[in-house]
Amino acid sequence: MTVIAEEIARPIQTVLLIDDEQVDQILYKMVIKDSGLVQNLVSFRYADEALEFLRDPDVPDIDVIFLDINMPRMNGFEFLEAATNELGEAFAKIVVVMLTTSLDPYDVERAKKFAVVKDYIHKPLEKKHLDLVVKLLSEAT
Amino acid sequence: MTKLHYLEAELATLFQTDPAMWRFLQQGSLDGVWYWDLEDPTQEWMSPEMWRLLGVDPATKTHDPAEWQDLIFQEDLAIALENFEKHCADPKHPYDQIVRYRHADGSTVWVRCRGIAIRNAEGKPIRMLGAHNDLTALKRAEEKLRADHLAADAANEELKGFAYSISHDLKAPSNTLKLLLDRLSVAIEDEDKAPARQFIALTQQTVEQMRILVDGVLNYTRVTESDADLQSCDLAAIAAETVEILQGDIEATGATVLIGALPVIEADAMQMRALLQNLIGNAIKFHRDSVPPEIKIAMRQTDVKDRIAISVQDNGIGIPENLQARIFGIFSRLHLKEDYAGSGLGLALCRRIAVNHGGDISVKSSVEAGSIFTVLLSRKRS
Repeated sequence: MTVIAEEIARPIQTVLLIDDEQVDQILYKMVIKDSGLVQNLVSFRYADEALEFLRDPDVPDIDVIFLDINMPRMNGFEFLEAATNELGEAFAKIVVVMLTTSLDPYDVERAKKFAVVKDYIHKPLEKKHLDLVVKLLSEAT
Repeated sequence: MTKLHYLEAELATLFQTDPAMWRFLQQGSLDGVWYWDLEDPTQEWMSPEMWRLLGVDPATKTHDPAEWQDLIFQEDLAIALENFEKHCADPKHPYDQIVRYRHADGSTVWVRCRGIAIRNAEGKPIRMLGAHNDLTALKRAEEKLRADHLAADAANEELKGFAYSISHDLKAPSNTLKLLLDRLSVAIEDEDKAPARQFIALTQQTVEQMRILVDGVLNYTRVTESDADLQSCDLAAIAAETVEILQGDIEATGATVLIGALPVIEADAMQMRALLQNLIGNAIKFHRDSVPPEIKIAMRQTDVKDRIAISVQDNGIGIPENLQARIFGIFSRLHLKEDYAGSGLGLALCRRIAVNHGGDISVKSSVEAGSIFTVLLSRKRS
């Protein structure tokens, strides 16, 4: 069965990408596709729309959310708070927060307060970050 | 034994013989004196100066210590009583503390209160002589200094936050540019024209966003970093100039701008221009699809003397209630950059300008109906 074969071949089933920047979205989709590690990619440019998607009881299991912080309407921290409050810690197996700079250690501290945030990376998203997610997922099971 | 200087000896005699000398010293250097009978503690003579300092008519007082104990801050009374006990037990322990009294007008009076026990032959304290010094002006200056310090800290924090945000928002597109150029060079190596064209288009889009950001930051710092230069400003003329500057956008959207009667106020002209340009510019930018913007600029009086309200009203897309609180924050945006370009600094700048002019800015808005921004400004320099 092709589907099963593919599931075995690709260690990350579903990625949720939340980033408002159009260009970043295009680039990160390329990185994710080129890595060959990911089966499904769902992406949103507004965090509140991603939250709406997660509220659906039929939503597939999310392996990892790549979450931008600085976004209009609802920023990454507000998303984490709302998702944790409404859906509990299990709304995703892993959240990776994408920071743009290491200048403000406060952002890192703030991200670490959420148990679901297993790592933070500095933009841009690269293949090595996906490798890390594979490792974190295998440790979690 | 050293011989007293003849003037010192003379002064000692003068004090004993001429009460005017004591009054002169007391009134010139102290703000109240008290003399307490420790053998009958219900008796305490208090000088009229001590009561006047507290805004109390001395004639209404009966030299009962309960009278001042009602006016002193109770936590300070506890400290004074503790020092009193210790001083009575040991003359080397000073009776000396700064205490606060409630003035008759409700304000706080700071007093340095010193005293010395007078002891009988057995060393038992039988009287207590006390002296007050008014420290209120000093303490108020100290408090103002502390408040100024806090304000400076807050300004510093804002600056740090600003520097952080700028670096953040400039670093993001520069990272993106690097990635795009890497991809572009691969595409060129492979002589792959279609992706190469896409990467060039994305590079141009990213550079344009950087330009908008740098423009926004320059505008923001130019206006906020110089001190307000207050002069007579004709807001009607500035509004008309602004409409002229925005003519291109007005024609492109078919906007109508109605300028009501606007006053002449004392303000910084450059800041007033930036304020109106941002508010009118936003009113044009955030219009509804195929609904030409109708913008009204008007003035009304407020309940506060010499404070006016300028409002800029539009019929645009409006702002959802739950997002209205954040729009005046630095780098706060509600939309994707390709939907509505901007740096997220315009309204933050408007708020700074309003605050610089002794006022504030607020918004009332409903989605798909329009917004009305109201700026409070002082008519005159304070």
